[in-house]
Amino acid sequence: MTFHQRIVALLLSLLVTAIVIELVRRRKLREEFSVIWMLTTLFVIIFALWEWPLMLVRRIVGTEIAINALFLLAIIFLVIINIYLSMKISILTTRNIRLAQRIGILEEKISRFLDG
Amino acid sequence: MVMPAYNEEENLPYVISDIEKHISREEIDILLIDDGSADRTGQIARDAGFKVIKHCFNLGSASAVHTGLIFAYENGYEIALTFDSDGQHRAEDLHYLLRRFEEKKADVLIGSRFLSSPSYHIPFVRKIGMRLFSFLASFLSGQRITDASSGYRIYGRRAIELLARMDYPSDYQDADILVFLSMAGMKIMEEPVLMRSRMHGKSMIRNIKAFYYVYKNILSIFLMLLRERPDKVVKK
Repeated sequence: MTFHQRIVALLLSLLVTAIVIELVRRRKLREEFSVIWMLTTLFVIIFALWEWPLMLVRRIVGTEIAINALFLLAIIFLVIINIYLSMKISILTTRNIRLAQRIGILEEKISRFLDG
Repeated sequence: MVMPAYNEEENLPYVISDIEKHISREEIDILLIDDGSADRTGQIARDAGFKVIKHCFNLGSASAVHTGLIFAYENGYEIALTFDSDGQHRAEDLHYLLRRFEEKKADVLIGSRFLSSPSYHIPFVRKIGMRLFSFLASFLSGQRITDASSGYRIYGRRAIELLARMDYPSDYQDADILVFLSMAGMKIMEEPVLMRSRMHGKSMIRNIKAFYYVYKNILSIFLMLLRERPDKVVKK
């Protein structure tokens, strides 16, 4: 990566870190979900500060230039995070259904109780 | 009797009069699950003297049936019968099915439209799907099932308990449920019934949903085999 690219990557990582911290502070993002974004920014910072980790990744994935290895990593990361979020949504949907069922059953019980 | 219903205000009066003609309220409690209807479905059922459980939003017909089964389980019912509220099922078949359920000592009894000559037109593609799921259910359960998608079913206490406590599917509940019950050693039997086509409104399985229906059913049938054993569900 050129010096210019490193600076941009560093600034973007710091910006994302700041946004994540602010969202957690406002309780709009749970700590649990902030971990994955913090780890991502940490990786980007590592790749921006030192060259050898990215070169190592480049050799492992077999790309010609280092930036392609970075793109590949980013795509893999986005796929993983999408699967993770789909899983979380599925869990929430199931819980939502169970809650709505319980509310319905309880309402029926209450109305029976009130009717004597 | 568990009746899942979603926006059925047009069909419900007919279904209620059919039920009143053939079923005595002293012998059967009727519970309508209003699955988040935007119309007067719940009110019509209440006016008819049915018990009504209302979902605060639409959860899907399988979840509505599941709510009814949870209710049956928690209130100690020995038998739960699922009956569509769109007019497809005939109340006059009910006593025959209940009698056969007792005689056969089954855990689950399915009212099959394919054991009698079909009384309404089923589109060819849908018929193929129904046959495929029935074949898979028969093959995997080792019991003869000709109409795995029939919603006209009777469950005994053991089946009610298992279904109430399992992670029940939310949208469709066809062959996968039957495979699950057979894995628990339940005896699944069928009896012929006649069904009508729905009077008003559209079937929930149409257009693009039909593809999802086929995909979901095939996937859940096979995943059912890989999931938790039914005996573990009850022990929890």
